[in-house]
Amino acid sequence: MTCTCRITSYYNSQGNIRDFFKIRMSILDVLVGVGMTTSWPKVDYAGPPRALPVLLDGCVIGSLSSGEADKVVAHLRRLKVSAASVIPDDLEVGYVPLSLGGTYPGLYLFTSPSRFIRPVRNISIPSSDGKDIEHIGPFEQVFMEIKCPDGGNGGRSTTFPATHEELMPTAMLSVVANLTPWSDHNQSPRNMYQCQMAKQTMAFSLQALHSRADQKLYHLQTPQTPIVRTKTYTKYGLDDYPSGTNAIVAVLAYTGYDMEDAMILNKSAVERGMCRGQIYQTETIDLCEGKSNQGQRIFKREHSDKAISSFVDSDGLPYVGQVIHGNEPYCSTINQVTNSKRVYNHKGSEMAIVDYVAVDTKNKQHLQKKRVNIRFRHPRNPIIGDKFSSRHGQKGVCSQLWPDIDMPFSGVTGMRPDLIINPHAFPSRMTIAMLLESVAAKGGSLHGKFVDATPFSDAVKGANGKTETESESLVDELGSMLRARGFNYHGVERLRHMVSDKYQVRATGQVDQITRQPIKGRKRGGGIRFGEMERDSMLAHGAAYLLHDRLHTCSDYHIADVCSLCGSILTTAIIQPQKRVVREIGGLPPARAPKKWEWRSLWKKLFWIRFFHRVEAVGFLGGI
Amino acid sequence: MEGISYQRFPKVKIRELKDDYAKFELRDTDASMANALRRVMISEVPTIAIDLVEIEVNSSVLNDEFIAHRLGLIPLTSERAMSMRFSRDCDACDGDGQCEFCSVEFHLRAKCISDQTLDVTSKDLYSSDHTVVPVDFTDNAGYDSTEPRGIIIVKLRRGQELRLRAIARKGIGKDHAKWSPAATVTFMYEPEIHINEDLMESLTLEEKLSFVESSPTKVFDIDPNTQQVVVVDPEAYTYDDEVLKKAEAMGKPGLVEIYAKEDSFIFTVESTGAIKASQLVLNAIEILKQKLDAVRLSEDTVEADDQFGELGAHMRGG
Amino acid sequence: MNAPDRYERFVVPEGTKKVSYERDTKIINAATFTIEREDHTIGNILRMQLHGDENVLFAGYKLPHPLQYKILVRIHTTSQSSPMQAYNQAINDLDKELDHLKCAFEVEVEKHSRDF
Repeated sequence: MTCTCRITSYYNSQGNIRDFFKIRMSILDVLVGVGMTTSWPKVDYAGPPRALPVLLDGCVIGSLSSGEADKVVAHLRRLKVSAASVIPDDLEVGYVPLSLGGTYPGLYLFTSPSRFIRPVRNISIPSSDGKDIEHIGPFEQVFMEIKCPDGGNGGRSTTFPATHEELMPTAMLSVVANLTPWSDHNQSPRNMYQCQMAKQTMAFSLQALHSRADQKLYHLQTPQTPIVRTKTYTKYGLDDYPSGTNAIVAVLAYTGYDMEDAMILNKSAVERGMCRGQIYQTETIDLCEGKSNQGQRIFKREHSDKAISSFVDSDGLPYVGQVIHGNEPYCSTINQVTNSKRVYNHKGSEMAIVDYVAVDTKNKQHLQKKRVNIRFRHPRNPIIGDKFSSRHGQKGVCSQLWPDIDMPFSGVTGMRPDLIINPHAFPSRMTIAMLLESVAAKGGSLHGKFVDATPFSDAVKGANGKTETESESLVDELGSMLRARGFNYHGVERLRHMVSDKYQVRATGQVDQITRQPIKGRKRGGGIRFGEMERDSMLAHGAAYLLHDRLHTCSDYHIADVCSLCGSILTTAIIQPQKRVVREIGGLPPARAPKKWEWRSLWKKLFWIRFFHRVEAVGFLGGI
Repeated sequence: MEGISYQRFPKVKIRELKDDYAKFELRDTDASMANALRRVMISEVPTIAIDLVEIEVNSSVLNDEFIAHRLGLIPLTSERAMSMRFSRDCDACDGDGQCEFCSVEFHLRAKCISDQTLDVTSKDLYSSDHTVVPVDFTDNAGYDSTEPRGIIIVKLRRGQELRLRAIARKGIGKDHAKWSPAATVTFMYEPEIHINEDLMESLTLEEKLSFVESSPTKVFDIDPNTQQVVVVDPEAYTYDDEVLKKAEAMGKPGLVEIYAKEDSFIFTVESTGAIKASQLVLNAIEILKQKLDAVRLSEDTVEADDQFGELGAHMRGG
Repeated sequence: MNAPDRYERFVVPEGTKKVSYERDTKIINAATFTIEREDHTIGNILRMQLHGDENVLFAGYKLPHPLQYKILVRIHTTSQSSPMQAYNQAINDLDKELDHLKCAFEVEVEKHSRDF
């Protein structure tokens, strides 16, 4: 969707509800006035190619002689643009001309609300006072001749001259796409990747943080506005909501820790505050929830309860500013009737800080605290494994925090880079704009001014035929400044994918109730599935011991007793696990049958459906 | 036992010396020594910086960690740092950082009671030790000295308050960048530029001009009297090779020859203000001496267990 | 998570020697010195100083891994000397050089502050 896109509304510009019936009637009047034959029931009319049907909001209202159609459409568009007419300016004039094997011809008009429209300039209307902006819809635009205002004709033949013109060459770009500096110099997939990534930035997304209770909010501590910027930054006021910082970047194959899109961050720069941030997370505790003990529970801590008094205040709520580690309490409630207490523990192993506590009184009768929002703050300073990106779809993961003194330095100024990326990131991706950005940003920072990087701006022709901006000459101008070697500046964005939120490690831990296999899920301390594909690769490598270790020893390894009479491992008696007498005879394991637990539970299930297995215990060694 | 000495006798010449800036020449030594000095100056000369912050009241817009971080980065005058103890080595307080030998306490109390925004700056930090205070930048020439120019910590609006206690400790830049006394330390090889006069004379004045212009920095100039190309400032040369490429392009390779003198360096030292630039260099030399002393082989240096030779070292994580 | 503590970079753990060495099992007069909690600062000046010693056939150092805060200095000398002797000699020479440098700098600072 382009950034100029908007939606037709039920309301007019004064905020009053529009009378769509009146609008349709006046359109009908206009159409009849220009020669449309009104349709009546049970009357046959000529169809294409002699006449074209006219539809208004999906209803056939008449037919039009095909020779007249072009003139009628031009007339409608003229009325649409003119402010004085009764034709609304968001009318969609979908004129499908006669064609061989094409879409069924006709004049399809739409007035309804909730349609997408976007402004273009109608150049077939002679107008000098800016009254030539027409709003077009997605249906009509494919049958229109719209040119790009780059001075050329876009390869259009003279038989179909352009009737409309885009407002600016960047009109085709969305808001996010508009934020990429000089995107016209990039390989197009990179611009697409950047549009995906710009939405993942750990940005400075709001100003009213102190009074918000978002479920989860990523917040950059010290953001900056980029030195190289497009006009969109000013237009949408993005300086108030920056999404990254400027960084001194060295493009260098250095130490090998920047291979394969890894990047080396300057440890000292990080310590000075580069790319620091927080995650704000809000927990809501609602005492009105649940059926049984409604209205009985209140936020309170027993005075005698010394165990949690260092975490929870006497009102049952945490102290603001309190540091809470994993599994420590942060809130306490007491049931006034049963006098039973409940303590809320902080989930996970990670440290958090109580940022804010807000009491929500739902209705006036209950002045008691019933609902509480507790906002936690998780510090997220850059560490190895965090993801960063430039504004050109060049993302990477921090592989090392390298000390300042081990970084290369400029002999003249003594500057050290904040970030090192590998030069191999450029040839195959062809993000030329990133190189341009670094040149321009260095110049901009030396001159102390921002650099305009709006794409296609050199194509826009001004009134006197000269290019509107002097971006070409700016690069020329900067070139002389930048001959001295040095580092480059880039807008760097920190993405919200951080290892602290993603890492998953397990040695031992919870197992599933039924299968006794390790559970899944990062939150619960589960493992990562060793699936079929992984099993296949182990088999292919012939790594039998590793395979056995993964699928058996570290999974549901189990030793069971077998009844020597019936051969079953199932029993109604509860057998106390005896001390296992481990006797290895000739290097062979003891004569017990280690099995997978899942096999036992399968057996149990089979037994329920009258299916009986037996293990021949005699001479049975090893597993299944 | 005593072998022949291979000691060098480096020469120093200071060109410019200000409190927070020094530029000097270092000659008759090698790059390893110059780089070791640079590294020590940046990361191992101790200073004092706020390390522990106890926040009593903070109703400002910045969160506690942010303020603590900002406090840590404020440079404190650290002439005492060399003689101070690291709090982890401090016997008097058992390393809890509460005693006068290893720590300095600071207090900050600020509350905005007017409608005007209150700037809380490093001037609002009250030190328990008059020798360790936030670095004062007011005496810089060109600024109005009547206005206090501390480092802004946070801005408060009406009703907001900040009250905290902070403990500053001795530390080094290797631990955290806030303890680094150096804003910038850099050195470059002194360039040696030889102009091939015979070849240069074969150029026209225009060619000479374009040659002089080809250098992005003002290294060469044309003598207005003799119209000869002369080197005006060899140190402005940034090893960018532009003039060499120009000479090549003009079809006159060898027009100039530029070498880096591998035994002489031009150092630039900029201090954060925590210690004087000259003291920073001296401290760095002292620290480097201490470091070398610590790695000397002594009586009790035992030969490592070489039972497994190289493999053993590998197994031990070598 | 599992990142090493900040102080690990420069505090020698208890029970560990700052310097230890290991003779090469195959080559005589060659040894590897392990210096704990040091980096290029010490490694490089030692190496360069050792290169000046004509009895030293080989001197090199490495930082095995950025998260292992130690350096390995390898010295191979002629039979006129020994790695330990060359190592100590290099440190003594560097120490004297720094003494000289310190004096020279102090004199210069003195001269400079007198002039202005």
